Amino acid sequence: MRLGRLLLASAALLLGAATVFAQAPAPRTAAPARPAAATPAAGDGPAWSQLTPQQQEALAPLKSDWSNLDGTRKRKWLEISARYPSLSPEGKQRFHERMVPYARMTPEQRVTARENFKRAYTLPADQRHSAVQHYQELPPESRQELADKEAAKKAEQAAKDAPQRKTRPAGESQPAKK
Amino acid sequence: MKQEIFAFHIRQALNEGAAHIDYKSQLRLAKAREAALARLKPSPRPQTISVRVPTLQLGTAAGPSLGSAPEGGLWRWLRGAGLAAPLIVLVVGFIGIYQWQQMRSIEALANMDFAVLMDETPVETYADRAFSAVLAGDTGSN
Repeated sequence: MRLGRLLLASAALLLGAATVFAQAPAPRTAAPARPAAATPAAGDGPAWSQLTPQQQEALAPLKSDWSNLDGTRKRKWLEISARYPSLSPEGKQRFHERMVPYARMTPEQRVTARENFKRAYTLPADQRHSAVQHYQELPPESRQELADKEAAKKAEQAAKDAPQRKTRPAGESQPAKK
Repeated sequence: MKQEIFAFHIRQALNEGAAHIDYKSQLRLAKAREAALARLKPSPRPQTISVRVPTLQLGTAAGPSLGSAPEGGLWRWLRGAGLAAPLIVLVVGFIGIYQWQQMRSIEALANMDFAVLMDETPVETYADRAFSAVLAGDTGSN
């Protein structure tokens, strides 16, 4: 009887934990502003030689960097590689071409890339294209100026939010304010 | 009444007769009696019973101690065993939830990164904060 009650309480606790976990933002692969090569768990996860030939083909551009990736990033890339066989030859080529610069970005840059991608796709296609075009036409100085302004805004927002969310790391999940 | 007197006389006669039986016959009768008794009931093995009784008494003795001495080793052990199962369930459950959550987040991240990689816009554009500003409506023109 008592055991049953304890088991029931445990189950309720687990259900609560599962709900909390499910609502919590996805854990970050790395803290912002930390260089990719300095990840503490670099070398975790499967070695390159342990990958299947199919995975090795999909992740070929990452071969030289593979041992420097931490376990979570390796698992993420392996997850991505599962989609590779279904790509067209052009798709495979584009995938390989973009993989290296993306993998070599700092975690902060990847976070920004994901955020911007999400934001870009909230816009209608024509607005999205014109935003890309406008960005590409900007001279480097203007880009730098805009980037600095955006970074300042972001820092200000993070400082404002910090007391409200002590447990959540700043940066990745917080979209930039307009 | 007459029957009782008759039975008494018979017993007397038998007792008197038994006194006159010779030694050898007495010995044979005694042996036959012992053999008959041995066949009649199996050996009771009183030792075995006496061994079992203390075992049962030990079990019974632990009973009252549950209420009277909560610090008893057996009680503690039982309490520990009672808590162990929910604790194990809890720990295994938490590990399971954590693994599941990790798997889910990696999957979500992989989906997002795959979409970024397969997009036409250069990844460097997406990674630039200046593009964030442009998306937010800041044209950068003075």
